[in-house]
Amino acid sequence: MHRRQKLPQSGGSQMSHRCTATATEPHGAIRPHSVRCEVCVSGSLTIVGLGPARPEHLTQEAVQALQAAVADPHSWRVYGLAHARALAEAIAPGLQIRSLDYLYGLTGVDRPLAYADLAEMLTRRAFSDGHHVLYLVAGSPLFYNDAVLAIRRRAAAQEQAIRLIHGMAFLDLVLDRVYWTGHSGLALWSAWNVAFDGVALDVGAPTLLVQLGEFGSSGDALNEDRSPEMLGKLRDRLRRQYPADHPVLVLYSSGPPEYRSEGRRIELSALADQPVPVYSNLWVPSIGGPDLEATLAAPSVRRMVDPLSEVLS
Amino acid sequence: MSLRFILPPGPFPPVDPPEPDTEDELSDDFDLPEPETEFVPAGERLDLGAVFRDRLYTGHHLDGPARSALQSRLKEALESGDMAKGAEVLAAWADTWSLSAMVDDANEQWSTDPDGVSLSVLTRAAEVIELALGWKTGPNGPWPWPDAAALRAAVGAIDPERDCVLARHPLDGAEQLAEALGIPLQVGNPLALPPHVLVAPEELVERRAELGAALAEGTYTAVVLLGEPPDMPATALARGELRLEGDAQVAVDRHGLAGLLAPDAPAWTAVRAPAPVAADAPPTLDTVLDAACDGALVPGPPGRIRRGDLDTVGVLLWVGPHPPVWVAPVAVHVLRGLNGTRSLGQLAEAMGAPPDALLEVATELLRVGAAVRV
Repeated sequence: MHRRQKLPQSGGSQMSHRCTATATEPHGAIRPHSVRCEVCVSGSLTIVGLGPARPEHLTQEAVQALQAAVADPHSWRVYGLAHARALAEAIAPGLQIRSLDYLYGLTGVDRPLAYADLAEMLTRRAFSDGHHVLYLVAGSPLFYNDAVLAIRRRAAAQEQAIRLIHGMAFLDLVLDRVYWTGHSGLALWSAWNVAFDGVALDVGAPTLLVQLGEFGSSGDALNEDRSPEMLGKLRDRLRRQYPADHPVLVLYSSGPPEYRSEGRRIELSALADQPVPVYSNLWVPSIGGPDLEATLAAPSVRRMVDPLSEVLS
Repeated sequence: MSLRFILPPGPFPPVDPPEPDTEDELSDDFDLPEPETEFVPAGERLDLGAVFRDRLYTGHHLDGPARSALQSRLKEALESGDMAKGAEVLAAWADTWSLSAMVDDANEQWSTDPDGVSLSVLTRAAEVIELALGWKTGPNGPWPWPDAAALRAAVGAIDPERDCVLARHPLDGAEQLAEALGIPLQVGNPLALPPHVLVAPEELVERRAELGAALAEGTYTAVVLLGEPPDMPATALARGELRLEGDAQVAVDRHGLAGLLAPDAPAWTAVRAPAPVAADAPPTLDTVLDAACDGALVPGPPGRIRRGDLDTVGVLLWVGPHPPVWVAPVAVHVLRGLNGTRSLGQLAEAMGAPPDALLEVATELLRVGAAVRV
């Protein structure tokens, strides 16, 4: 359903209309044009997943969206947090991105409130104010992103369609260092849910516990120093279901610029013995499952070697 | 009889060129500046912004009278146990060194082609001057409002039949000035400022959507709040949105209406950079160094004073666009011994200091740009 935005009564020229969509593609057209849209006079909201780390993880669709925005800055309002901005600016230099970092520094505003406010603000900007909004997020918009979830729910409640440009999820990098067979499924939980909310795992299936380094229910993970607090709680909860010598794999990234998939295999009892990097994950193999799933996989090569260049050299 | 139009000292330093040299007009008594009647041609305008700018926002004032006044204020604050004030005053006192080197250029720049850096320098100068003189902040932004005695002295003899205050913006303090001087108010041509809107603080949250939309649309470049809104999450989020969308909002929040003229004004902390350092080999006892900055012993860096922890530390102070560097007291003693003629070995002997220890301090002074080789 389209909500019609009031257009100027006088001087309603093509230039006064912000919409860059076409009549046949009322929402989601990436290529801006100067033809006034007869169908869609509201704004639009596009959520762009930028992938987990490196520029080459971006989809072609995401790259096109960024390039369209930088080519026509007057048609798009682009928003993002610091890590998403750095990646987007590498792909589309000169792109003007409004920083949402302030949301993390407001006194008395916790993460859930900040994300709800962000969702309200961006949907209002798009669907009430009539702007074409690009919201840049790291990874996949659909994995553990409370702000995106809130935006989707709010847009649905307003009967507004949003556009999702999917991005590669962090899961692909994480699974790089394990051998997941898929034979007994896979459970995915936030480490917080297990450590503090009392969630019990299905020991017959491997489990990936994400956001291992966080120490607050609102998603605080600014440095690794306080991760042992979470790790100790998590270890104690897991010990109720798993033996002390059950192998677990701590999986994390080497960080910029390489973003290599790193990992270490330890016994469950040693889980809290040292801090883990921010954005770490924990692989908990099933009890009685294949040994392969309890093995730390060899790191993959980051870039494939071009066979032709090898031959020529 | 021709009228005399008096312009209030706000809302920010005026952009007409400063008077050439006002050093001789400076008064030692901050509360009773000398009258500047020479600025007042009959039947014309007396711009109090220009009067106080030319008198106070100068390297000469910050380097001399303002610094001395801050020393007295620091003593008062520490003696009265007001550590927060003491820390604030000490930071201001330390900044008089860099400001004294920067403020005249900033004034010139602001008066000819207002830009962000000059505004940041003038804003910090305003904060320092306010602390030095003990004046209150004016009706908008960080600009100090002269006390009654300073106002009367600057205006000179008042003739209610002939004098009136000219109002050019609701926040320029014209009404306040007219009341203080007991003369009538006249509405003049409004200040030429980019589009903005004045909003009562208690209306901020309820008008957030409307204001955010107007800023995003470009109808306004900033929202000027007429006071401090209540401290609550909804207010913080609303202000966040205004700063996100308004091109000049951050600058206006920091500098008042002046920010409209320089939306890219950086924070004061970003205006200065560490002193330049020459990449040389470490000094030896034969090396001759000269001081590249001043050094002082003070009762602690501001952060420690704020915590009530008073202990003598050193501070290195540049008459240039460099922030102060807080050091151990011994570094100041060594710095004061550098005279560009004697070697470090001779200095060690004169100070009765172990040569290795003195070399270590000299190396650090070179590393932070506080000393130079001769």
